[in-house]
Amino acid sequence: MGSPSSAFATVLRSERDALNAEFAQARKVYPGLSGEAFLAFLGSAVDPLVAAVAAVRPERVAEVARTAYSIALSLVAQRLVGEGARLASVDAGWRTLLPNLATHIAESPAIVLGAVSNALHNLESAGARAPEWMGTLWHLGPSCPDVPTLLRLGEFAAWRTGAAHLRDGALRSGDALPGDMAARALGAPADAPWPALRARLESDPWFFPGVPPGPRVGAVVGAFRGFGGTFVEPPRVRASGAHFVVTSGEGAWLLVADAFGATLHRATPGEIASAGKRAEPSLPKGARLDEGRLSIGGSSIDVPASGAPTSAAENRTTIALTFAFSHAVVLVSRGGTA
Amino acid sequence: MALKEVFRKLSAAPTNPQPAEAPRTFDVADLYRGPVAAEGGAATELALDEKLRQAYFWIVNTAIISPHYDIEYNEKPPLSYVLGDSKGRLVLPSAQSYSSFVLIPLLTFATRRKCLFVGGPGRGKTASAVLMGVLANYSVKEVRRGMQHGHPQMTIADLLGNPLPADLVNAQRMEDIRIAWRSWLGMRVKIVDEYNRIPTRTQSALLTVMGDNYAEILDHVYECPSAAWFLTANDDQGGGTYQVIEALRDRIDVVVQALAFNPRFLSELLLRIEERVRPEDVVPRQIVFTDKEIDRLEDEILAVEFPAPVRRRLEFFASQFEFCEVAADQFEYRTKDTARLAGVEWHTLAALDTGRDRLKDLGCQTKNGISVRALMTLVHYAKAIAYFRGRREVELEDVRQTLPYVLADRLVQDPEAPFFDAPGNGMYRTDRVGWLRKLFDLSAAEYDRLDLDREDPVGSLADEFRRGLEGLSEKEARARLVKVERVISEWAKGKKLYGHLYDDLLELKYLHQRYSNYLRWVATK
Repeated sequence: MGSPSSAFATVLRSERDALNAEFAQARKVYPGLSGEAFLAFLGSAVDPLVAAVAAVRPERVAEVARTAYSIALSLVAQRLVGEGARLASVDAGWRTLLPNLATHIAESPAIVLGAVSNALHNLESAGARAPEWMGTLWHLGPSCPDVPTLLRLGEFAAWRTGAAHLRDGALRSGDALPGDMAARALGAPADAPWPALRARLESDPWFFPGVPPGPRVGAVVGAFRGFGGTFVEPPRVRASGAHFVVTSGEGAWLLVADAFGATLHRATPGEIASAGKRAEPSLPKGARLDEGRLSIGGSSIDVPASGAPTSAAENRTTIALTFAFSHAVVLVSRGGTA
Repeated sequence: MALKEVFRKLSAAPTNPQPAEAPRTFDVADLYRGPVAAEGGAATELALDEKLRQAYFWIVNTAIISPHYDIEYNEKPPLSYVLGDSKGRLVLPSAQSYSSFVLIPLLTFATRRKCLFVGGPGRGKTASAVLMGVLANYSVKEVRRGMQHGHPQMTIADLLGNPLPADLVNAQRMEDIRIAWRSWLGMRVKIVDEYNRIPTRTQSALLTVMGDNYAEILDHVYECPSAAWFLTANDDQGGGTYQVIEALRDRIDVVVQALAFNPRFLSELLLRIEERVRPEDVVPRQIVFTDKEIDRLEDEILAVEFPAPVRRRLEFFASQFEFCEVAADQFEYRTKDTARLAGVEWHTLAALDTGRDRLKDLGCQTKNGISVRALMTLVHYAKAIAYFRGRREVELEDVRQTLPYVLADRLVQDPEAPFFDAPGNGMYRTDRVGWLRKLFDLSAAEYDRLDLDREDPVGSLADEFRRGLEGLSEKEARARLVKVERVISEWAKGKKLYGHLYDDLLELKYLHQRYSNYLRWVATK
């Protein structure tokens, strides 16, 4: 570790024994914990963070430094940050996002550092767009008046950047955001009133600001496991309320999707049993598929068909299709043609 | 329908209809739950009993090397092995069990009572006490500086504080003298190391603080906040540089022994030495309790129910020991305490034949009875351990497991009693914890043999009385008096008098007196 900033150095010196003891204790729990990796992370990620806090709230430096040390130790030990980290986004979040949230970190270091680390971990693990989430918080986070508002922004942004399963809770979090923050985080024009946006979002999961209504391909979800995707074989799909149950080989997943992203969750036996009737290739009534072109409700759109259709399912807003030579599920927005 | 078709008929599906599974919901708060354990915030607020358990497991797994499970709970009959020539038993408990050296101090911390650590030097007594101070949100520095170290030259001023010298010289009135009180008096965890080295005069000052929660110097009073106390001594016999005054010893609620270190765990010690780890320096913030949380802990512990069947067995047990038939003529004075106050040698009385079975009579095994203070402490700790285990009601086993630590210093064994000469009982002369549990087991067995849950005439009469005298007619009151007299007459017919009968008879006398007074009052109306 190069020379730390004076603020960080002061804390390290004054609490040396306790911090060293904490490291030794962590090594008992995580025998593979590397001292060099931890030192490197302290220098390149924690030190700038502490310096950022020192610039805005110098009286909180000691508390922030202690907390950041403990959390960083836990993350390095679990190989979530630093050299050889299993996931890239948590590490990136410490280096790029957190220093920009110095004011909020000074207010509640344990909550903010823990929440951001966990959120990035969860978003990346779920296949959501963690870098985009960081960008939203980088731009809008400093405007949050307090830590609870920052957390609500984080929840809203998580859904907006692909964590579709958090939709319902995120819309409630959007209600708690001040001024035009929800509209801006959504990517809508800043003067678009949030209540109206919310009503559209609630009634149509495929509503996307600026995109005209009408049938369109909403999402293409999944890929071959060999290429980093989820499915071993081309999947089949069945309806399950507002979502879909997708089966591939021995596995089954609950697919949650909307205009902003899609996530897959291991399906429970109950969800599998109560999903729609056995997956069949029959298209919904009134729909026709002809050489990659789907006709529905008087409209016609191109779909990424690869081989003959193997299954189809529908609910109020969406048609789901699978094809013989594809490891993905194609989700088509009805666009109000139900 | 043709016969063949009957056999072909299938039940219509579904044959075991289940309600459709409710749609899965996702909690947006899960976004912030993950590999980093968050501190604070409503979303991560732990129930206090869970926090207490987390504190326990952190201590036993990380802080204190105490791989002992001498507080044993069982969900089903445990495995046990007979080992050695003395036929000692090694029991493998079938439910979660605990180390007394860690759990009893932790319960003391939660109940703000007083715990004495005993054991040879270097066994972790002081280290454990320091940990309790850190759990109460004090820094290690504050805990160590607040610790009182007993030594033969310790004065009252060392313990409590000094009047300001300038005030002493200039003051015209006592009220004008200011006192520089010692800061430890205001701490919510108080530690006294080697309390049996404190001189007798200073012990009296300590007694006031421990017993009445205030300190006094020159008519100035410092009211101390309620606190958990941890004292250490190399032995619990009250010896040391100075004899510990009995009143001070009696203020101690529980006594816990520092068990011997198991050398098989030397590798743990080695790591600490090499890494210079001191457990009190690395206590996780998540298990540190604020004052408000400890206040809440106390309230929640006291709210744990003490069911009547458990209470009755405890009453029966406690009634075994005080009675001494030959101590007095007046019935109420027939107690061991009467004899002790008269200065009569215990063995003189013990040798007198009263016709009771001296092996069976549990009272013969002790030189004294159980005080009210001890009973209240026992109830409190039984609730505390039930709470710790996540229960909202005390079980009999909770009483059984905490009883030895509460009564260790209070129920004085008579090692000359015939019980200890019986085969296999000799070791109870030294194993106090085992002896006290054995006493409780024998008492419980006798309770069951007498079928007191169903056949308890005194209990029925007492319940009847507790329903109140409001509107009770003279006729009914007389009828109840007759019932009381009838029970006493029955028992007077050649029944040997044991401790529990003695207490029952006193209660019958109490009921008789209350009804008699009521009749006299009714007669004036």
